[in-house]
Amino acid sequence: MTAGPRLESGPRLGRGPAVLSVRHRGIARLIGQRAVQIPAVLLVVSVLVFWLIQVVPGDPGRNALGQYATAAQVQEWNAAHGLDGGIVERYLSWLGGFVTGQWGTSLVYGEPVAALVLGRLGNSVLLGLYAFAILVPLAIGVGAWQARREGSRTDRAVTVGLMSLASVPEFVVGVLLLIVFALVFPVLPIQSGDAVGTGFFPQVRAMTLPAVTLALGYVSVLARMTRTGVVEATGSQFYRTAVIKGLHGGALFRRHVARNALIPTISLIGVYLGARLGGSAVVETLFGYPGLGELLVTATQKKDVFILAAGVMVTGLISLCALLVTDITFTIVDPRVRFTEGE
Amino acid sequence: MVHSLDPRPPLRAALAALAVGALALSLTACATGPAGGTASGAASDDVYRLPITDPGSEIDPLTVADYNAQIISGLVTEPLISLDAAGDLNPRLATHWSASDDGLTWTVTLRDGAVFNDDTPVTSADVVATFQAITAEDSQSPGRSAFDGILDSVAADGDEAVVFTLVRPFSDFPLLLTGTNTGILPADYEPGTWLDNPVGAGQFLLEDYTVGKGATYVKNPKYWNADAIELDGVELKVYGDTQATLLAFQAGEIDRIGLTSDVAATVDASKYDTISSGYNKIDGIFLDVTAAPFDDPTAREALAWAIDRQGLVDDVYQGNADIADDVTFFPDYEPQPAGLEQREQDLDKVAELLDGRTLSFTVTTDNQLFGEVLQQQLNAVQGFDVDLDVLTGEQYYAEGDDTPWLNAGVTVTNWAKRVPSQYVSLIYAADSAWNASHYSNPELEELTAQFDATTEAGERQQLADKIAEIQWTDLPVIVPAFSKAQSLQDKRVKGEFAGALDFYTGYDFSGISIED
Amino acid sequence: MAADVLLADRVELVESVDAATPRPAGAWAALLRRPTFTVPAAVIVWWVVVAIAWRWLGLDPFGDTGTKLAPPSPEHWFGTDRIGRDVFARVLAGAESALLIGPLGTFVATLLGTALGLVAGYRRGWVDQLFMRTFDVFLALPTLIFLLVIVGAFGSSPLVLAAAIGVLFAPGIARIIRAEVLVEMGKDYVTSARVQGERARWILARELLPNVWPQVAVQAALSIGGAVFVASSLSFLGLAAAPPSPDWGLAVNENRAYLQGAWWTLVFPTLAIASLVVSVNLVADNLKEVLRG
Repeated sequence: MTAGPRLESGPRLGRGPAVLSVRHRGIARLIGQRAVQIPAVLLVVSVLVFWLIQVVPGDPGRNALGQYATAAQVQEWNAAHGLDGGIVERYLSWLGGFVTGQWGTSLVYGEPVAALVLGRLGNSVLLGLYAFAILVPLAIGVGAWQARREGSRTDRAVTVGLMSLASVPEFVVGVLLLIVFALVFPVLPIQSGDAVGTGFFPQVRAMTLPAVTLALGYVSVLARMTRTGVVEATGSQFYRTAVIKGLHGGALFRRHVARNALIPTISLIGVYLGARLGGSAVVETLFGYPGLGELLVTATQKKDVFILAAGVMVTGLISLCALLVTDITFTIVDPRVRFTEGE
Repeated sequence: MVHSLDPRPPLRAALAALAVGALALSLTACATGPAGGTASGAASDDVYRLPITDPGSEIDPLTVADYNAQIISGLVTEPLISLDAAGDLNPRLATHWSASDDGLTWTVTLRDGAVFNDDTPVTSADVVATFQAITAEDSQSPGRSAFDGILDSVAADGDEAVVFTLVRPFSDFPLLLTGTNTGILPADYEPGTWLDNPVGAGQFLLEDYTVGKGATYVKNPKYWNADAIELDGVELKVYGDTQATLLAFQAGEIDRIGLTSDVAATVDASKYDTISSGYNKIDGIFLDVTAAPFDDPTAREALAWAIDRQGLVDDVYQGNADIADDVTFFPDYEPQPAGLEQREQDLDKVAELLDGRTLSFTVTTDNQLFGEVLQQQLNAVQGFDVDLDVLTGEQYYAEGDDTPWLNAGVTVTNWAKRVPSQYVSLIYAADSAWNASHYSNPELEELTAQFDATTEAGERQQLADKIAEIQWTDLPVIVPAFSKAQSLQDKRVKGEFAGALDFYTGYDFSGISIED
Repeated sequence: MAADVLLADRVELVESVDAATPRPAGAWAALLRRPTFTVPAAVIVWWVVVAIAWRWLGLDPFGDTGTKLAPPSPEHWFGTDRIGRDVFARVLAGAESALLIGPLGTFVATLLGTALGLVAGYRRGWVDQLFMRTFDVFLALPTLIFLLVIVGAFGSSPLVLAAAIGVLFAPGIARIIRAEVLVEMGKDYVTSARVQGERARWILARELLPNVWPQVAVQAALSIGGAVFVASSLSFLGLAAAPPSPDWGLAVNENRAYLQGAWWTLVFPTLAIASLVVSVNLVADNLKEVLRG
């Protein structure tokens, strides 16, 4: 049978507990399947990461001791830090430690990996949520506003403008914001990392510029999704029927547009949330924000396999869970979607 | 015809977003971050604020190799001797040093009354333990390479003096005591535990170090020369990005920034003090003399005459460098070699030497700016066809027998300032691990050994002349310039640094004060 | 970045319900009537011409002109950079690598993605599940880390970058093609072909592919903009073209610090990237609207 969501045409707004329980069963099955599949995927990812990091040129011992240490000293350093031995046994010993909560010690910083990764994760999550809180109302608002003016010159102009914004790299946007809001009008700090942990308002203030930079990168796509969704929903047979039936205003919008317009938007939001929460190395480096993205990039460049493996596990888990949440939201929000025989 | 849509964003989505936003904002209250807020350079304290980049390594005075890691521990520890800005020896924990007649024994007298920051006195046992840890067989200290083949053993001579026994006479031995990793630590120090208890006899105490953020220091009241330290403390701030550093400097968050091309183009230098001090390094162009095209001495000479050294000084060093003549004698070193012609760009000579050939090779380096400028210069000269391969530090110094910096045909590698005989033994000597040119000249090594052994000025001058001439003629390494350190400093800082600006031969903040 | 591409199918599925069948016949006329197609298309043509012909225009993007960091002037329209190179020459010469990696990567992605999507949609069952889970692996792996490792291991030549981008974008395309195939599978012509005993490969190539190819074209077009952008973004971490290449992304990275002191060294390459990416996206947008009604 076909796998994947099977779409039924026409409105089938089922009502009543019977429908609900069908949906719940679908959701439960979905979660059950993912509970098995996600760890499997993560396992494959961990093997991939462990193996791939070998091929990156460089040597942790050499990186730590510099160019004037002898080869023998470097070898000793590597041995002392658990980097000798075959790759398989090293992977298995890492895996054993990882699932029991011992994530090892960072080769680069000498600090426990768990504390580093989870601490940075928290920071990235905050920044991601802040950016999300800015992005979503803004993008949905703009998209809906554009849809109202669909086809007009302002609509086209806004599309082009947003697209141009999206093609400017984050580090250019970020620096421009810094120049305006931290230098010309010194209202915001230059390095966001300084304010972490010093209290609610200073921290929000410090995180504003990086959050805005992150948000601006995605406004374009999300607004476009919303706009398309609203336009298509209002053009559909389904909608026109409702209009003919006499619905208008808020009720019309809520019941017949919002749901269908929001489906693509929700799925995209879920994905972005997953990606954002993993941190954005570019923005974090520029603003000095102690996030997970920047930590992982450093770990990759310096071959710190312990941080990298743990970090990728964590971000992978978040991404896959965000996917799951998106799919669940699908089944709840979209009356037309049913996952037959699971995915 | 579409009926008028409710222009408000879909209610549910908006509510969801608001809920998330509220959740996010409330979570910031319990965010993770450094324990205890650290003052970000408040103008009330007399704190000198320095920008650094993430050291990306453990902080242990014995094994630190990265420049930034060295500062973090170096502000707390104290060496026996340091160098001042003019290149002269400065007594720190040592007050007096002298060599025996045969030059094989150096006796160093320790300062009376110096203590570590935990109140224990600095004794000869501590000095012995430190140097033994550096030079031990299983030591992981990069500082060991400076003593290999020179230092035989170190022993205490009572509580107040230490005796260094050498393998061969080395007249510049005290200079080796100013090198990396030579901060004196207590005899009972356990390697790898420094951050748990940052011990040292230096000018500052480490208050807090947060990975990726920075370190704060306060003045050490027990320092032997505490009266000379006018600062309340020092703050090191980590910036991941040069742009962020620049913006921070413009906003007054840090007191100093290196004067590179982008900084010079952005800030108005007249609003700040330009500070400079001695030489800090050379970027040597290493030519593999065992492989084409530079196994031919005329090719090497042609290259040396083709380079526009002043152009390199202007473009790569922003003018903060002196032209060099392919010898490893820094201008502030005594004796200076005499009798050599200073090479400058001479295209006629190049044409003569090349005799119609075209030299085709690739420059491999981790110094992008130098490589680009060099390639640009050489490709504009008839007879040169130069490619460029820029690698990251990790790639360039990669582990293994075929590591690029020692094996690519033409490389540009930077070497910190050392004494001439060190360069010979580390670069020019046939058995040296770091001889990227694969050069071999027993005569040169013999002359250098004699140079090390003698203390007589006339003889040293003669030998120096001969050594330099060999370097100048054979050209396994082309040295175009001696780089100097130059920075912009906030005008609120008064006084002059006693030593080099980037502290490569000792950390000394005496005489520096802040005036707001 | 790969994440949103990988998930596009969830979005596209919903949109395609009421879509009309593609009508390539009147497409060209419809496209040419839209200024949002013709203007960007002209921009793209301009860059293609420049990328091919810049060497014959007498430009020198590498030599020292004698003045460093000179602002835009009649002699140097875009000014000069930190070692005296003419920025106008570098921007024009940089088109070559911008147009090489993005489209090449998209080509790889389209080829790979279409093939995988066709097979997955046709076979269904465990083959399909395997492909889906493999794509999930790519979803879980942080894009940047993946690229860092690939480039670190295999170098940053245009071929490697194109292959890496191809691998990144292929799963997204595959999922969409797969969804299209699933829809087509229920149709009569497929069932009758199978009943007649046609081999799978024939069915895929002759029956299914012609019916899904408009979607392929749209996805390819949509991906090019993203590919160009990703290729340029790689240089923030120094992964893209090697110095002294005039590649735009590399130029943006090298000259970031000059935003205040010598803005022309940064702004013009940025505008070049933006112009190409925006133009490609607008063209793709129009293609999508016309081909899918």
